[in-house]
Amino acid sequence: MSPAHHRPERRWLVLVLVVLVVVGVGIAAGARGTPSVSAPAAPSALVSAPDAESSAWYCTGQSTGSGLAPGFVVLTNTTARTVDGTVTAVTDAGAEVHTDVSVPARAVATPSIPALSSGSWEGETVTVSGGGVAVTQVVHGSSGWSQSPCQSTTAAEWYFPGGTTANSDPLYISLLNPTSTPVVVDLSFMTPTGAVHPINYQGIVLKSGQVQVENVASEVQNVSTVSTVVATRTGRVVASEVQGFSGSSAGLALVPGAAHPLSYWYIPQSQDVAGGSSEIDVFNPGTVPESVTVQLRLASGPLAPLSDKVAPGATWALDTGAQTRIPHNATYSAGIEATGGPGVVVGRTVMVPTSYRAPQAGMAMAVDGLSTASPTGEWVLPPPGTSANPAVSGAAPTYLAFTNTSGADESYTVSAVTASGDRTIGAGTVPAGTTGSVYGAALSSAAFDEITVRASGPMAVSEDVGPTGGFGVVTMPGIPLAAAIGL
Amino acid sequence: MDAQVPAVVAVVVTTDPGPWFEEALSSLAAQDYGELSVLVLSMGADGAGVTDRVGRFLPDAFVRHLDGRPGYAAASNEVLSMVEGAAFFLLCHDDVALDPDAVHKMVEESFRSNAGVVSPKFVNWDDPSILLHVGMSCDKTGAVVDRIVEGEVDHGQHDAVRDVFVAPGGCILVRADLFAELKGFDGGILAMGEDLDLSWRSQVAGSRVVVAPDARVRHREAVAGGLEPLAVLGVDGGRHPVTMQMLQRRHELRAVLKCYTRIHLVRVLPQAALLALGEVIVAVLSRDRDRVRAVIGAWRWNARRLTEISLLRSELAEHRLFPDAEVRRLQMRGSARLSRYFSRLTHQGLEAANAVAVSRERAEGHDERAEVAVLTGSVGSAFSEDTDFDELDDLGRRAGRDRFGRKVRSVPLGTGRQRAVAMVIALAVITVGTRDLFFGTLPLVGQLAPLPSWSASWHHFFSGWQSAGVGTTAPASPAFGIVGITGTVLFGAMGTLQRVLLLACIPLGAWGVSRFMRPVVSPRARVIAVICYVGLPLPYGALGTGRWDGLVAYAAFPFIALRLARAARVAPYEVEPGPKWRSRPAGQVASLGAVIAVAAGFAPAVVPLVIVTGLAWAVGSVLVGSRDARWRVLVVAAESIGVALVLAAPWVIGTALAGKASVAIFGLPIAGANAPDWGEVLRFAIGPAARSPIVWLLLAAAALPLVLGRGTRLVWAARLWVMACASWGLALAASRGDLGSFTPSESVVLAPAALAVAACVGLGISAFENDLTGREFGWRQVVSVAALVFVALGLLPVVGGAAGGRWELPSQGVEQPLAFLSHPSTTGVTRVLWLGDPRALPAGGWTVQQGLAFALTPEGLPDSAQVFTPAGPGPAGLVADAVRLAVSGGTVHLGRLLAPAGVRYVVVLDGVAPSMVGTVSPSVSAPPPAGLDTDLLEQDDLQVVPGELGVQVFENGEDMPVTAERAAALPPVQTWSYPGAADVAGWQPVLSALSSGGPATGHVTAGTLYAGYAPAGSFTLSVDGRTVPQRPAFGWAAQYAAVAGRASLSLSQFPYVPVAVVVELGAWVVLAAALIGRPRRSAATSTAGATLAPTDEGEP
Repeated sequence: MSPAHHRPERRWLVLVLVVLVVVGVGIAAGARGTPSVSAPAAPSALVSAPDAESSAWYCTGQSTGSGLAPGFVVLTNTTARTVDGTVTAVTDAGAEVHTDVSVPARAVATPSIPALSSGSWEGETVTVSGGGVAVTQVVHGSSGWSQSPCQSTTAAEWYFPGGTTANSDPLYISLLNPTSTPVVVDLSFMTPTGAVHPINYQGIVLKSGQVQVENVASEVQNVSTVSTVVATRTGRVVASEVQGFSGSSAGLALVPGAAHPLSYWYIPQSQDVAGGSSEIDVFNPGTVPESVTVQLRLASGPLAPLSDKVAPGATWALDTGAQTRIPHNATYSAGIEATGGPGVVVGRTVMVPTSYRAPQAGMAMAVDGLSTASPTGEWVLPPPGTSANPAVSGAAPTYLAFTNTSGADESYTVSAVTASGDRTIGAGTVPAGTTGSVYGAALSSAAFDEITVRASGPMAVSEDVGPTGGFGVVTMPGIPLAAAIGL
Repeated sequence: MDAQVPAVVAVVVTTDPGPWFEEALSSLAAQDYGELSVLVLSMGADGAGVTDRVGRFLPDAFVRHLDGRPGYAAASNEVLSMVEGAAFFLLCHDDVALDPDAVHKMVEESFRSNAGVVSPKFVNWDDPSILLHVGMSCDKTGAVVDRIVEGEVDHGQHDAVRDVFVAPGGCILVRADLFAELKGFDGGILAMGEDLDLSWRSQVAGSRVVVAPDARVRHREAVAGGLEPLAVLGVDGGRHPVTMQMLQRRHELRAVLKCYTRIHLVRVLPQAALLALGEVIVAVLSRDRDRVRAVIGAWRWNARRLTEISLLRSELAEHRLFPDAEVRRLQMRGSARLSRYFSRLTHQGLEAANAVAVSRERAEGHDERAEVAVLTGSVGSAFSEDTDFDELDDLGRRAGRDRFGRKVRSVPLGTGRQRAVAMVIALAVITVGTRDLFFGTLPLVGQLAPLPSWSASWHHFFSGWQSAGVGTTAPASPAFGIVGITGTVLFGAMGTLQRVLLLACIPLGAWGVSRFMRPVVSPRARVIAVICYVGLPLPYGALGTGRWDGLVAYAAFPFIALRLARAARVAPYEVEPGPKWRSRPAGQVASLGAVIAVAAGFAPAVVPLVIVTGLAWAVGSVLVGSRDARWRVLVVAAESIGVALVLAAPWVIGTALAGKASVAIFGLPIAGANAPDWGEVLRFAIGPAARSPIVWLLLAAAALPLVLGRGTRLVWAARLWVMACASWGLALAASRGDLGSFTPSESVVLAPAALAVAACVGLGISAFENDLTGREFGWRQVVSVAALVFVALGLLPVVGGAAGGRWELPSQGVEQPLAFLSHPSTTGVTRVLWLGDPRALPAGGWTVQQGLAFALTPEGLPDSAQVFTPAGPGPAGLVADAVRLAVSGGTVHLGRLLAPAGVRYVVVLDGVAPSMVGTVSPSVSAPPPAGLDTDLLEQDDLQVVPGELGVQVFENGEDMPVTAERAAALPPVQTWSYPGAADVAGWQPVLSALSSGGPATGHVTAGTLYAGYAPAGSFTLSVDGRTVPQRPAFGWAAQYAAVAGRASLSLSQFPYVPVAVVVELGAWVVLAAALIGRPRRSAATSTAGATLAPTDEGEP
């Protein structure tokens, strides 16, 4: 006879164990949750890993010749080796030219692209034999100039929270298909009076490598705030927004799109000046309302937040200049948090009085939450051209700010990268939720050198570049640097 | 006795009679029938002794000595020429003793019933209370069936006079005119079956055959019972001794051929042939060689005598009064032999059904009379175990009422017939559920790629080089050997073979469970356990997702568990060591190792599961307090795995040489997001079929033995539940990537849990039957009934899932959207890179990252040769690195990086089957990692191939043929590396594909020839017969500075693999011989007495 027969209590031992295992594992597995099916979102501008085999950037929004926004691309090599690449420029008329470029170690290059024979707008695909290279583009026209990162990824949707066609301001959406697949694109515009889906901008077909620019003002006229959605039916594209300011405050803005609505956005530095205007545009492209809170913080401390519920497809145009709680000429930072849905897209439009130096108007995306988390803890700030090929005469960084988005104090180091090594131009600690900055001679000495910000935690990094009329007219976000792949 | 009674002549045929003869004679002398005379026909040597012995009891008897040993039938026929005027002949063996009134009661019954043939009631010689025969019946194929249960006590229950089809041959009263008209027995029947033949012909001639139970005869059955050899001259068994089974089968078929008309034979003979074929197959599978020889020999023997049989049929036709239809009404319906087989199967299991158990006992000398069951075959002994006979009244009808006329309420599955019906229903559900798979086309889903030809399978098994990845010299899986063997047996019908191998797994697993459960539960509980096993969703999930490995594990694991229990001598699985090696501990371990090796060829993850099982059983024993073989199980498991590894040594060594990558042989990691959750794991919902939560009820029912069980049942329930928990936990952890790179397929890992659940259900039934005895009504009874209801309900999802006919397996796989891959390439020899979830790949692959695997196949749709790939990718690992680079944003030139491997197409699979045609549940759709398409779209040298719905196909814009030439040489790089832009430009295809057997050939021009086959050092290029020096390319491939001419690229290395495989096969042969081998002969176990006379005297 089995010993178990003599000891019936063992039956319950087994039963208890089985129940514990079945229930316990179930609870543990449930508590751990199921990994997300969707791919982790990445910033639309990310400097690829230094050990990457190759990388590519996509730039669009420049015009050719004497158009609204002629410009050039800037390649910033963050690595200690020379990097070769190819710039393929193509116009909306189909003209195409390839230009080889070599960027020395820790240096910046602005390849000279031969003039294209036809077309009004152009886009560039920059292919680099390696990683660690940031590509930005500079445009400069009669109304002003702008600098912005190119995009390191394609996407099926792009969002632009701001833009205006009031005062006959030109507003364009530039589309580039750098992939090998034809894409079909729809453009939609959100205005204070509702959504507009122009028939002419539905089903736009872009062949592989094609650039096409659509004039928003021709379909949405005299609207103060226009938010744009670029959505592909098939394939993936790159999109940028070109905004001209032709009113009393002149300016030119080249705004790369945001590929994802997100819950957190940051504006590390801003300033409202008397007589000017500043607007934070919070666009909800989702299908559910978003509860949006704008946390404002002066150097002396936080202000009472502003909040609103933003309906699906609507844009909250927050006129910060009209907020009495924000003192004029005081530098402040803003953090935008959205809850209730997948998130929002945030941009900022700034106009300073005409009495200020031109350009006086500008528009830019806020720093998205994805870009605050650099895999290497390092952000790259490419210069506005090179000494031989500056964006505009006297172009230089004027104010660098970085908001600590973590819950703890974080240390930082700001360096100017030169061929002979890094030169520290600022270092310290940023308390949680506050903003640190580097400006003045220390910053302007960097001139056309690459600037890197290294931090021990997440930061929203943004740089104002001059000469302009004030904060926010030309801004350059810090581009996070990808971690080594290690293959 | 009135002098007017008809004369009866008793004919006693004797051959060297034993001491019982006197008793037989005295019984004749004691008959109260006045007109009885006795004729003794003596065969054999001791003629004078017989005369003296007869004279002592029957001084008036006539004794005639016959020359030679013509056989009982021929000897009996002598009476026709020797006797005149008799009304009846009483044809007797020399070992029957009649009751004093037997003859007159038989004669009376003959007149009363107007019967031509009368049979008495036969009882045991030594114990007259035991019945032997009360008439017999037979089916359309001549298989004789007794009417009583072996050992049935005579309570008068069969004492009604009735018609029977066969009057057993020990003592027959036959009308003399009828006997003369029929020309007596068939003289061509030397032994066994003459009674069937005579009875059949009598009925054809219009005579009734009745049994008169009032006439009682004791019968020793000295020959049929195997107590005495039947020495008959002139029988031919060929190379093997003639057994009585052989004679029985020959003569049954002879009677069939002779007694039916030609027209009726057209209908019956094919059925008989089909049944014989089935019996041969079953006998072959069960190693019952005697039966195989008997069945086949019967047909051969009769085929040689067709002329003689035709003449005899013509003679019979002259006397025919009854048509075949009338005769058939007296026979049994259906197949007696088949009924007996299933009856035994359900009562005693497969071995008994195949009479293997009996023959084993005979071989071991445990039971001398065991020979009866085997040799007499149809003479009732086997079938008599069917308890259904208890329910038959004297008219053979099922009364279903007791002797008081009340309706009898039978226990569910209490009879063999009910259990057989239950099994048939289960089989029918499976058959209905798989009907489309057997008759339709199997889609290219999961591992369901078409099998290679039988010759290709053999070649693959022996080949020193495989095309997997970019090529490898690692030995192939033993699965190719198995496929080669079975494909050869089926004459190359590989499509049929694939279906048979796939679909047979389910009934095979059921058979395994039946065998596993036999020692511990009742037949009823065993049937329920089997039904529960086939009612779990696991095999249908594996089938619905095209997983070979899961099905094989499902089929093999019950056998592994059974043999593990036997080898470890866990109660009640102990096997007494017998004369055969396989019954000894070493043989048991070797046997288990062989099973593991076979299963591991298809499902390598079975190997660690054996250890897990051993460990679980040990822990279960500890928990429940059993010391029985507690740790010996682990030792045996380890030993058997060692045997398995030795039996698959070349493959194992090749796998081990892959280093860390070797663990991939067990399975590739799937994405945690796509992994089944705990609930799905517990209820085996890993596939698209039978995913209903109702399956939970089976698990609940499986807990019954833990609640009710006692003794062995509780101990086994504990072991099995611990095994189930381990299996479930392992499946969950592996599918979620918690075990690192050890990620066996969940369909394999869940096999032990499935066995445990089914077995515990069976144990629960057994506990209900045994462990509630003496307990008052209470919660235990309620729980038991609830468990039974749960089992019934829990099976419904599978029953419902059967309606579709294919277990939700998609109707089309990737072969539909990728049909263009089947067309010959115009750009030379290229390869296809498959990317997707490991479960979605139609070929064996390797990991890129969790949830993403890759496979590299020659251009075209893959076949099974690409399904079982080596553990390590070799230089194809560069492909994985390149893909990893692409998905991590590290390159935009993936096409270029893939070029040296000859990749022309990149196919991204969006699920187990293309979503456009598939019906796969989203929960098992196995999509690739999100963002993969995006990453590939951003590669500037990959172009989307438009129009391929359901999958995403990219064409490499910078592809290189696998063999190509150009003028410029490549840098002679020694380490694995990627090409630059210039390295992939300008190549032209040059050689044919490196076929599995032959070299790659073609004309080359002067320049550089590139060959993307690995390992490069194993290949030689010759141009016009001259060997061209080799230089490295990309660190793993080769380039040659070729001159113009006819080039040939061929494998040139010592055939390590073929030699090793030959040794491996030798090991299998030796093991098989040892396991199947004959026992050592000894005087005590000699079976000489059971065989007939030597065969060197030729045929009669």
